[in-house]
Amino acid sequence: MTAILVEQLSKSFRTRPPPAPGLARLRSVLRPPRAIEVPAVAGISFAIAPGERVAFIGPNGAGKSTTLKMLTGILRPTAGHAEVAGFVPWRQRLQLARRIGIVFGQRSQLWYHLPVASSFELLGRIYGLERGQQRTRLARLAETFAIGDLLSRRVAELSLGQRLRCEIAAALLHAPAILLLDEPTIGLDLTAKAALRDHLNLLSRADGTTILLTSHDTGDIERICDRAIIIDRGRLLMDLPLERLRRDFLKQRTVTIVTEQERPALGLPGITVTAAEPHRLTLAIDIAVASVEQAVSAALASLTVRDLIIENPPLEDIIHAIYRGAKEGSHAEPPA
Amino acid sequence: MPNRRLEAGAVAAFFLLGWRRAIAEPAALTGRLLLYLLILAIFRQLWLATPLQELGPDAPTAADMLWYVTVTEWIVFAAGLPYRVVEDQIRSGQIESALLRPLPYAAATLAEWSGATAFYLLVMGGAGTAAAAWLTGTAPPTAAAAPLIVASGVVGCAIALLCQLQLGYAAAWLGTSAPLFWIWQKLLFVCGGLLLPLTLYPPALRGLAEYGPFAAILFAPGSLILAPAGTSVAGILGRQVAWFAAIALLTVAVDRAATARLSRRGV
Repeated sequence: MTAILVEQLSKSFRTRPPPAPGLARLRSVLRPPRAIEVPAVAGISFAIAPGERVAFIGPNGAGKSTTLKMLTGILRPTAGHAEVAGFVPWRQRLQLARRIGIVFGQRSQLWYHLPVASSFELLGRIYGLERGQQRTRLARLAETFAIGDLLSRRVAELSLGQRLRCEIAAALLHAPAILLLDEPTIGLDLTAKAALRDHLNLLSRADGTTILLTSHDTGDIERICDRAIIIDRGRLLMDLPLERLRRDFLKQRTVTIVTEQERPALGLPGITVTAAEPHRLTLAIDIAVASVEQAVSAALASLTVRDLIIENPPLEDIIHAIYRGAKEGSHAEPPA
Repeated sequence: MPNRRLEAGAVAAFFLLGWRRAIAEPAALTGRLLLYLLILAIFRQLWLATPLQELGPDAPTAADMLWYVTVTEWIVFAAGLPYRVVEDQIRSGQIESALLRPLPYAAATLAEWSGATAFYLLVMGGAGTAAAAWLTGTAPPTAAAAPLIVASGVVGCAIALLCQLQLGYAAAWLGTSAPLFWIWQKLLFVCGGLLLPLTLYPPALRGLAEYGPFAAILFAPGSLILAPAGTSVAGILGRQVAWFAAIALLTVAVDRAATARLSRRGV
C-alpha cells in the first residue's frame, strides 16, 4: 500500500522565445515565433509508504514544485501516472483535497482580511468538520504550533513566521493523511525555523502523517525527514534513506581534538591536519584510507585528550556534490 | 450525497463571508452610495430639463424616468466589479490556493460575491428608494409590484455576476480581463438600457436589445417599475430566467475550459 505513487511522470510547458528588439519585434507580433516545449519534469517515478517523511530535493528549476502541483491535481502532467491517497490527482482533485494538506510557503490559504480564528472556522466549513470536532482539533493545533494568541488577530497583521505556523495548522485542521509542504520555512529566521520544524516533527510522528517536503534548507530535511528523493533538471537522481545518503556520499569526516599538550601533533596515512592551534588539532580524515576509530585511538594513545568532536560535513555539501556530479555527467561525486 | 451536503454548507459559509466582508468595508459602501445618490440627483435635473412629453402621449414623466434609473443603477452598483478578483487571482497565481480546496472554485467565488451583492442590494435598495421618493416627491409608479421588482433585480444581479465570473476567467487566455470587461460593460449600458428604457429606443435597436442578455440584467427589472400598458410581467421574468439558465450553462463551460487551461499551462 502506498500513500503516494508516481510512475514516469512528465510535464513540459509550451513557451515562445521572447521577441527580438526593434523591427524584429513587430515581425514577431505579425508572425509569432514557433512555440517550444520546455520539459520541467521528465519521467520520474517513486513510491511513498504511509507515515514516511520524505524530502524532495533539487536546485531551482529542478521540477520540485511542478511535481508537487501535479500531485495536488492543480497541474495536469504531459505523461505518466500518479496516485495520491488512492486518487488520480488531476482527475479527482476535489475528492483528493479532503485527504491531503498543502502548504505552499509563498501562497496563503488563509483570508488576509479575516481574524485567524475566522479563517479556521471557514476552513472547517469547507472541509465539513463538525463544530465539536473542529474545536478539539484547533485547540490541539493551537497548542502544538503555539498560535493560541494569534487566533484573534487578522491574518494581515501577522509576521511571516506567525503566518506560516497558522498556514501549517490550517493545512492540518482536517487531519489529512498526507501533508505536502513546498518550502514551508522560506523567509523565516533561525528561531522560527527551529520551532516550526519541532512542531511539525512532533505532530507527524504522533499522527503518522505522510510528509513530502521540498526545501532548499537542509535543516528542514535533516530535522523532519528520513528519506531523500533528489531531482535535477526534471530527472530523478537518487532516492535513498537520509542515513544512506550520508554513509554513501560521505567521504571525509572532521575530528577536532582538544588536548593537555600545548602543541599536539598526530600523523597517520589518510589524515590531514587542517588546523593546528594551541591545545587544539583539527583533522580531516579520508575514510577511504583511515577510519575515525583509528584516528581517535591514535590520539588517545599519544595525547592527553580533554575533548573530542567528530563532525560530518553539512548535508548541503553532500547534496551540492551530487548536483555537481550530475552536471558533469558522472552519477555523483563525494563532497570535497 | 454527503459530499453535496458538505458542499452546500461550504457554499453557505462563502455567502456569509461575502456578506460580512461587505459589512466590514464601510468605505466601499459609502463610495458606492455617494456615487449612486449623486447619479440620481444629476438625472433628476436632466430629466426635468428634457421635454419628455414630445415623445408622445404615453411618454414617461421625469419622475418615472428617475424611478427607472433608480432600479437599473441599483443593480449596477450592487453587483460592482468583482471580475477583478478572479483576474487578480489568475495573474498573481493565488488562484492555486483556491483550487486546492475541496470546493469548486466557481461555486465558492459566486457564493462569496452573492453574499456581498445581497448586502449591497439591501442597503442600496433602501437608500435608492428613499432618495428617489425624496427627489421626485412621488411613490414608485408601480409600488405594488415591489416584490417582483426585487426578485427581478436579484435575477439581474445573478446574471451580471455569472458574466463577470466569465470575464474574470478571460485572464486565463488573455492575461487580462479588462478589454473584454469594457466591451461587455458598454454593451450592458447601451443594450441593457441603463439610462433609458429600451421602449424609447428606435424600433430596430429595441427589437435587437429587448431579447438579449443585457436587457435581462437591467431593462427587465427597470421596466417592471414603469409597467406600461401591455407589458407582460410573465414574459419579462420568463426571458430573465431563460437567460439566467443559458448564461449559467455557459459559465459552467467557461469554468471547465479555464480550469483545464490553468491545469495544463500552470499559473
